[in-house]
Amino acid sequence: MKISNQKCIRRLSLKNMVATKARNIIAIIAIALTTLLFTALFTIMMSISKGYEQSNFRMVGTSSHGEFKRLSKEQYELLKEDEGIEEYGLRRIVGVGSSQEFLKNYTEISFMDENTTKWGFTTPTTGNLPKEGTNEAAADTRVLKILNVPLELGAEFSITMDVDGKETTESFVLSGWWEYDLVSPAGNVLIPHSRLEHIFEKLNTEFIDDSIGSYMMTVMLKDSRDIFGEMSEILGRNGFQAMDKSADNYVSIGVNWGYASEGIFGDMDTGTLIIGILILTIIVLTGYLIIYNIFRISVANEIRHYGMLKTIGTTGTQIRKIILIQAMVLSIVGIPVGMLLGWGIGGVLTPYVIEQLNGVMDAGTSISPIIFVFSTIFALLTVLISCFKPVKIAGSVSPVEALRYTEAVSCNKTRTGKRGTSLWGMATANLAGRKGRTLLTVLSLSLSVLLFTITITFVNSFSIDKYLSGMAAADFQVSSAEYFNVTMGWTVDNAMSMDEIEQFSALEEITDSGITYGIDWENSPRAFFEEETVRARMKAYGYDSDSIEETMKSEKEFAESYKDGKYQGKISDIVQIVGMDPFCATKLTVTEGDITRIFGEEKAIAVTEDSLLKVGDKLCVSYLDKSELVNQRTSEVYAEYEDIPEEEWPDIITNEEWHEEEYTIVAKVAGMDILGYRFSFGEKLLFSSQEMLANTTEVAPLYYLFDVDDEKEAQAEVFMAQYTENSPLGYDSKAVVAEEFKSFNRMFLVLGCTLSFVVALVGILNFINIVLTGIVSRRKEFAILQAIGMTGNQLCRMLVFEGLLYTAGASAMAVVLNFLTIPMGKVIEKVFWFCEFRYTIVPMLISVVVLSAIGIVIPMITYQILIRKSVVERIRETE
Amino acid sequence: MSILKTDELKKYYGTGENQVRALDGVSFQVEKGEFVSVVGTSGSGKSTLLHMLGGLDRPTSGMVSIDGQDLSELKDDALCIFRRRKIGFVFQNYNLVPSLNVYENIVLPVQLDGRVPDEAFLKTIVDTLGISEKLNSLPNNLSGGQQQRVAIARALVSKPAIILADEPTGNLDSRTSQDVLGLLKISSNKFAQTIVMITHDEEIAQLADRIVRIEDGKILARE
Repeated sequence: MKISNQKCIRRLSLKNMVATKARNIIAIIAIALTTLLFTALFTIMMSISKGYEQSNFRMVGTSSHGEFKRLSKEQYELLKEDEGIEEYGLRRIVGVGSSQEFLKNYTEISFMDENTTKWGFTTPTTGNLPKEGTNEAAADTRVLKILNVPLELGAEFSITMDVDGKETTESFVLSGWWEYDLVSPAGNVLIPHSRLEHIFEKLNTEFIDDSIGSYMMTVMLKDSRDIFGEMSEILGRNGFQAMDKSADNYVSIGVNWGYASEGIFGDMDTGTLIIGILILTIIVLTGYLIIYNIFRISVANEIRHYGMLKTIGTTGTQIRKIILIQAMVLSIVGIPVGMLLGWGIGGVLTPYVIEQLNGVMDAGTSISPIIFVFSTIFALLTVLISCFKPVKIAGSVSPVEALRYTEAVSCNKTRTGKRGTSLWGMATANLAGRKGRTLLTVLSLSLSVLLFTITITFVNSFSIDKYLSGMAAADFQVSSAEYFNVTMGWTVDNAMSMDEIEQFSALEEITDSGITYGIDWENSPRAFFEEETVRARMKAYGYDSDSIEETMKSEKEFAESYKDGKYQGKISDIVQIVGMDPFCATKLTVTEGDITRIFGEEKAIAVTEDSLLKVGDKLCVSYLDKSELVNQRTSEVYAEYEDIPEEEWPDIITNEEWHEEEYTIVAKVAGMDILGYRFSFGEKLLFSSQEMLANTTEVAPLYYLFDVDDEKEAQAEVFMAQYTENSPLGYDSKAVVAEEFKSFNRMFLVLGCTLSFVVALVGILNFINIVLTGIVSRRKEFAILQAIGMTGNQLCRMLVFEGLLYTAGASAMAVVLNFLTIPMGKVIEKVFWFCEFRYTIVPMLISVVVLSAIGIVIPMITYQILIRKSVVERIRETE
Repeated sequence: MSILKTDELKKYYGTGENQVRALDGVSFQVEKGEFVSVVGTSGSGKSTLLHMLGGLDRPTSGMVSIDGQDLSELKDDALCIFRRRKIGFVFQNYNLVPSLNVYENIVLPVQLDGRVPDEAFLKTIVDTLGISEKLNSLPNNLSGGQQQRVAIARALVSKPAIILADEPTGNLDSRTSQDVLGLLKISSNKFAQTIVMITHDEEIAQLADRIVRIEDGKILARE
């Protein structure tokens, strides 16, 4: 028989809650704080993830889901009506900048409608988009800069562009601009659609190259899952397809890979993952310690009530339900409050973290629903885990035992060895008698002390000297902005010129300086290695086994054809070479051998610390002097395949001329991550600049390195900052690195202290709860003590002693736990190479003082509440 | 010589129509070494009387004096100190401190007073009460009768001027009650201890030297 008693149980549960106001308030705060921690953590994580995605979009150039490329007007009109498209925008390219200034700065002149500019980060921040029917144009600041156009609305300028093979110069009036984004793929000039048609008309364009003039439709779909599939389906519905390029109804699809990437979580390394899991565990533990304690104490205090309910026929399941309903009601109040606060705190903290990741990121606080869903799940999970045992106790209590039940008074039958007692003794006995809750409270208090100590110790261990010596080789390192930008990378094309270097070397502050040269990887020399060496390197770079095997096969073939099989069986691989002036080489850390020998008479080079090559080894480096494509039939010589008619390709052979030099490896060095290319391929070899320049062409300065007079460092810093602001150059300096270090430091300090503060709050709350409930549940006992002659003063002192015992226990526990973390110092030094583990006792002392103060004050306040009722009233109170 | 003396003791709760006269002019005396029982039905005012006598509560008017000291002259803390030196309590539900063992519970009032318990006297008491084997036990592991004996020992140990017992056998079965009362009586004789016992049970009251009956806050008769 099924009896509907849900209502009755709910009523019992809620009525019962009215009687436990203090517990409810503490539980709600506890749940809110736990949720706060979860939400703050997830907000930071999601905000970073969002920033990461956003920076991907900026690299792609758009945040739209995808693009239907090269449509005709009819196709465009047809497709835009499709129901699968949520929003769409139009882009038509007129031409690309063709005058000298645009050589290094690929710039498109195009029409974009409002949606496309919005998604493409090309909405003018000053002024407006050009109006139809006018000669207005908007552009990014880089385009304006290279054309020397002043940043003034209404400024007149002209652009020479290549429109499908025909050159034309057009003049415009500036209607607006936006900041050029270093990572964006192209410069942009926006013109009205009317102007576009006018230009095409004037030039009589026939659109042979169909990326010029065609309709590019950027689209937003319903969601970002399977963008390619979704877009193919749209094409299918309208009679087009994206698979067969040769068919007439083929339409090319572009998918924004920014959506396809797994986001920052996909790229997260194990270290970050472990830290994340560790923090999550700490939060769950913190929440568990308090919520469990609250419910356990609450159940213990009401055990007679539950026993009574059982005598009148309430089942264990029903009693469990009563408590769970209470927990849920408390969660319903606590969780939203915690989420709101946590989201706010997370938003405040995010910038500190983002500052550390890289310069490209720039995003507000995420409001992704995932944050709130996850926080709720984790908070509820914590509440449920915490309630598990108390609920079990309440559900399984026997009604007879309930009447006799005195919570967790120590299971010892006797206590010997003490002759008499003191206030301290009584306080100790009181805590010892409630081992479980005492331990939990002590743990939860000590957790925050531990976190705080670890944070401070950690931050204190950051060594700025170590960091500087590792991150800044010399006082100043100057190169192209791209060199310092991890997403761009240095190339000969973007390298700084010798003229620019000469300007710097004229600076009077400079005491010593040097140039390091680099070369593009296409022109880099090769060297022959043992097969295992190359295999190991390729594996380290993350190649899959298929491509490794393929490389091995083709390289073996190459070795056979190379110089009559001189290196047969060996594998050739590109080497990443730098040529350094002596000054630059002195900034490296030599781990083995003698670096100065590379500047001597012998043919000598150095390798990196982690290289598989050994000091003393000989290595042959092959330089490609000439590479040409020869038509065997006609003996015609070509530079590139593009120049050769397709039908002649079978007759073409590659004709390469190599020369070789044999070098002795004389040293191993560290520090190439700063003084090298800042990106990797192949074995890194270090030459003297002379040797490199003698053997290679197509070389450019990788960077210019200089030291300045110590007293003039600040002066030089100001000069460099000003100089690079208006040039395509960038620089690193001790001051810049020191600033990075400080902000890194700050991030840990802010995050660590916030975390410890909230955990401390939870711990203190737990402490308040236990002192409060401890006193309330013993109020009768205290009344008796007062009846037999304990003065108020003595009682108060005893309570303070109890409080102090908790905090002393917490301090002791924190000290012990902290000792256990000392071996972690070694690990920290390894993971964070700029750490010099320095143990500090100060945070521990501060914590002990704060804890002691809390241990004294809270019992005293509670005592004041207690004595509001007279002894007789308390003795008479029925249980 | 009277150890305990009350004069026109009144305790009113509430005001106006709701006023309850728990005690309405009680005057009586107890001589040194006397074992007096106060008998009354529930709501007669006997517990209120005990609280007044023990200085746990202050009367609306009238006077209580113990061992020549007018309790109304004492401030709270002074009253408390007076109580632990001059008055011993035995409660219906024993009211031992659960976290302390038997010995610690017994010597608690003496130690709260900063004195060292008289070990010889203590030994006599625990031997008399038959709890010398249980000194290291925690209260929860004792039977009701044993707990009450511990409570009596606790009341005796500071050699108070008077012991106030509030339904000391209320939670005990009749056989254990007889045992406990016997011990109380023996203690009274052996240690010349003045005892005032409150009960609603006529039979138990009969064990006392003298019975005081109380009804509606007033003393009815003396025997």
